[in-house]
Amino acid sequence: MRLNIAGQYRINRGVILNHCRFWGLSLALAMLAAHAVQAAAPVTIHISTIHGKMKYDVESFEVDPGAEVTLIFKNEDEMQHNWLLLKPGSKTLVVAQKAWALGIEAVKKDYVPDMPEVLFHTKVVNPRETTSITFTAPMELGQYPYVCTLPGHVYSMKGMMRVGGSPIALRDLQYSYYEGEWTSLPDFSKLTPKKSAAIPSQKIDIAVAERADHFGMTFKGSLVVKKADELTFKLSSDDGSRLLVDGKAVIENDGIHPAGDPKTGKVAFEAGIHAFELQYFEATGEQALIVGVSGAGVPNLPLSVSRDTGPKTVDTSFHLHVMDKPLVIRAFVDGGPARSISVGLPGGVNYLFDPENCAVRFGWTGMFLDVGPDRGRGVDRGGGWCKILGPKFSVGYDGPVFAMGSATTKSVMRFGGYKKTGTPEFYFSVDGRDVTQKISATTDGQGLQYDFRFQEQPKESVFFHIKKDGLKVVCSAGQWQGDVLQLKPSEAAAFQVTVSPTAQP
Amino acid sequence: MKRFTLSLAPLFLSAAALVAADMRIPQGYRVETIDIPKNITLGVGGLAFNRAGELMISTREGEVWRYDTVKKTWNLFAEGLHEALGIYVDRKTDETWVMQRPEMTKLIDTDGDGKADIYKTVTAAWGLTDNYHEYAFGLVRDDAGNFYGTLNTTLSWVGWAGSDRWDIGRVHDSKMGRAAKYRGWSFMVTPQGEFVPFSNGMRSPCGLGRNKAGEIFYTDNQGDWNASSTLQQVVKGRFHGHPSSLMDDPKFAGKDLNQISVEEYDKMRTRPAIWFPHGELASSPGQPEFDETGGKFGPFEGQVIIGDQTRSNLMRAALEKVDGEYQGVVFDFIDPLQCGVVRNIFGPDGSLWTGETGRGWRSVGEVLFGLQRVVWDGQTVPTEMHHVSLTADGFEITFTQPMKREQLVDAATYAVKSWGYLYQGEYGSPKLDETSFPVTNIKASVDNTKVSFTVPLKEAKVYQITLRNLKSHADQPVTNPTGYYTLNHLRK
Repeated sequence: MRLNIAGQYRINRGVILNHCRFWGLSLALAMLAAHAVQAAAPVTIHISTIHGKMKYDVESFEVDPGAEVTLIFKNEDEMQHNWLLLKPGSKTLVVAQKAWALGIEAVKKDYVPDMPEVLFHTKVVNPRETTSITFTAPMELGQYPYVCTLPGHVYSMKGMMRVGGSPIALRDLQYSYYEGEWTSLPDFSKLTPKKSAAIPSQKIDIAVAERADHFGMTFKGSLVVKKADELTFKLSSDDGSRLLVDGKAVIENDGIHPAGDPKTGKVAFEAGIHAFELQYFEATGEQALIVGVSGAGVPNLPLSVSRDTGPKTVDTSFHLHVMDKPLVIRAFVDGGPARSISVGLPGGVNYLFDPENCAVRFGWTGMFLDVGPDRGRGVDRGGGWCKILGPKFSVGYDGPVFAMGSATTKSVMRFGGYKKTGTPEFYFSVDGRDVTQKISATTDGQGLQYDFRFQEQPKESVFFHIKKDGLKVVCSAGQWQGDVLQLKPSEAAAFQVTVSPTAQP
Repeated sequence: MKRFTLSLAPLFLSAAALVAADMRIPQGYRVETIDIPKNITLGVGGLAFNRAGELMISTREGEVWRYDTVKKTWNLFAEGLHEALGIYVDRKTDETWVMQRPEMTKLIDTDGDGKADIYKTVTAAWGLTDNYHEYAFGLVRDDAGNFYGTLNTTLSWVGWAGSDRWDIGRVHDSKMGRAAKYRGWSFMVTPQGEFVPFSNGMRSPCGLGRNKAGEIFYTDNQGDWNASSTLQQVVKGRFHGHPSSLMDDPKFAGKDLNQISVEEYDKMRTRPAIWFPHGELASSPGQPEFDETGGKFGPFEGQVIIGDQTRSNLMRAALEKVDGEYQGVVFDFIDPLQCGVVRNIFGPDGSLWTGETGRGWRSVGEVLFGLQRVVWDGQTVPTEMHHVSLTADGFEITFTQPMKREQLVDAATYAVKSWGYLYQGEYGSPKLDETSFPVTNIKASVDNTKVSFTVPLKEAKVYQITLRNLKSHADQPVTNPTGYYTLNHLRK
């Protein structure tokens, strides 16, 4: 009977619905199943590796039993990968470890261990290469894991092929989106949605909301249950939600609250098609809507897009907060050169020092830095651009800052390092003359104060260049000529410059 | 943070124990795992011991930790570095240098509070773009006080990091290029801080080491122009085989590197001292660490231990000079550890400390970073091939202890085959002309610790020698019965 319910829903859902009215569901299913199995259409599945992520881009797909499956496997990564399809219930790690243990045989065998668990596999595919294999999908319904067995890849590089689909599935899912301010679920039937649409992925997802606060959504569709059983639903949301099946509330989760532990509701189902509706509203703050179901042999089937684990939404941030001491961090920063030194000062003024040109490139106020892109949140390779966490302000950087002897001299700047403790000081030389630049926040907390000190008094005039447009620039010494400050040797030994934006950024 | 922990925890639990149970390790050795406090992410990039015998650890996360191996305390020495993939501590003066992506830096603790205050730039003479693959590795120092480091080539991949400067210096469609100056070079830094470009043709030169004589070696990773991973001697002016770096070689100024044929590059390059057969033994080797413990680590004084970042194993290589160049044999040693091994250092007591990271590439084992220590018990003699030497007409194997004579002299004990590799801009290489040989003319030494045999020899081949069921006189099997000898030069 299980086999008879093989994945025909995708092929001829409309026919099933028609038949149901007259003959009852099971008979219709049995008839159609035989047809579906024979007629399982050949299918082509495209799977690529994602560069640098140690992942397949497709982590689950569905085929009909007995279908001829052509897998086109493209390696977009810089490392070698393979693809092994395993029997249902196989432990991917155990299979991978057997592959690693092949030792000197591994390469010759394409990292495919000699185990009954392995059904089909590609060869090891080199970077930028594509391979394809064709196989006949098993007749037995179930979930067939797939995995890359090159050393270490198993931890993130895997997925699931479903044969005949899940015994429980959402179909014909549609959402309606509403806007309004509520403290509990409104009567959506009396409201006009701002937009409505079908959801081809059949996954509940609130990401289509057009704003973060004060909106509501309904999700309506058919819950297809292929095996009679008691189903357990779990629902968690921020803020309120309600789950209805066949028009009856299964879980009430109304009101304003954080997502918290899921609420549970149980319903005994006959095999068949049931009306499904989920209502949700968000007042302010965090948003979440997580719903899942278990039963009919399915341990846990998420019905919503998981915002916890979805590849697009993994929280990769790693915020560094400045407390009572300055923080000095070397990493790539969005908008900075490859060699960048970011400094966060207590009080919420931050800046980026460019050690190649020995000058501050820009400043920002507020929170300091998200170094998640550099650290890969402990998972990825990192090396991405870190993000500044506050509004940027200009400090008038416009190329080289110092020129010795004349305003047009191309003086050689050489970075020498920095003092990290206390208020950070930067060391560099201008045409061989050692300079210290101490950088602190201006007293109004809106700009930066530079204290320059030449180790030895220079013998010629020093020219200091800053693009003053839009800035308030105050100097302790020297004469301005346009954007160039000319300092006599005696003035240059120690001088101060403050730079603040004149208007709010 | 909470979310992250939740999503990974089940994965780690399910993986635990499986790997450890299967670890292959010679008799007399044990592996200890160091507990790392929960708040520390220790993606190890460099290891060094200071004057007090504390372990200084630089990390991919940009920190330098001081670990007291006796009290087991952790103190932060420096932070905010840009991927600190190497550290060197002068054990007489405690002066400390790190290699980070943008520069080589001296870390100075001016007030003696145990934390660096001055981060002094020693040199930043190489080019750097925002390409994440432009790693800088180090640091070793010669007896004259010169430092050595290596610079990774640029990943030439569409779409990385959003930069438009990736497609520079690719030669014959290579996957790695040179988007900035001196990518693919090793360099020397004099005690005065002068940057001296040293050798070129490197691809992913993750690890550097030096032997007692002060000779420098590095490992490279399999990929374009690298048929398999390698151990190579770093000699001034040497070309190691990846052509992108030649853009910065004055001898090639103004030349189009794509007009130079693979055959010409092949003639220019120096062949590696050791090939690590890809996948079989290593996929991404790290630092070579020479055993100069005076026997505290067992019977392998003078040999070199190398870890692999992907396979999480330790390998052991014995080099010999033939016709003026190093070549030699490599064996698996301990396989696997808990995580990818990139750094090794022998401690003052002769134990081997291994620094581990799996982040981004993943490695065999369930953890993403770690620190382990390999200790020899000081008495048990492991049952291993100590080394394999090339003879005029075959090989001589020296064992760590007497073996069973009847097996030693039996040709059925030995399975020998050889193969070559392609030198090409494409990724990796298949094995070429894989050929098996019977061994003849077997001679065992009187004390049963050596055996020699004759096989047909050819240059530019890897010879794989596997012992079939050979046991010691004390009836112990050989823990790692396969050795790979890289034959570049015949004995003349």
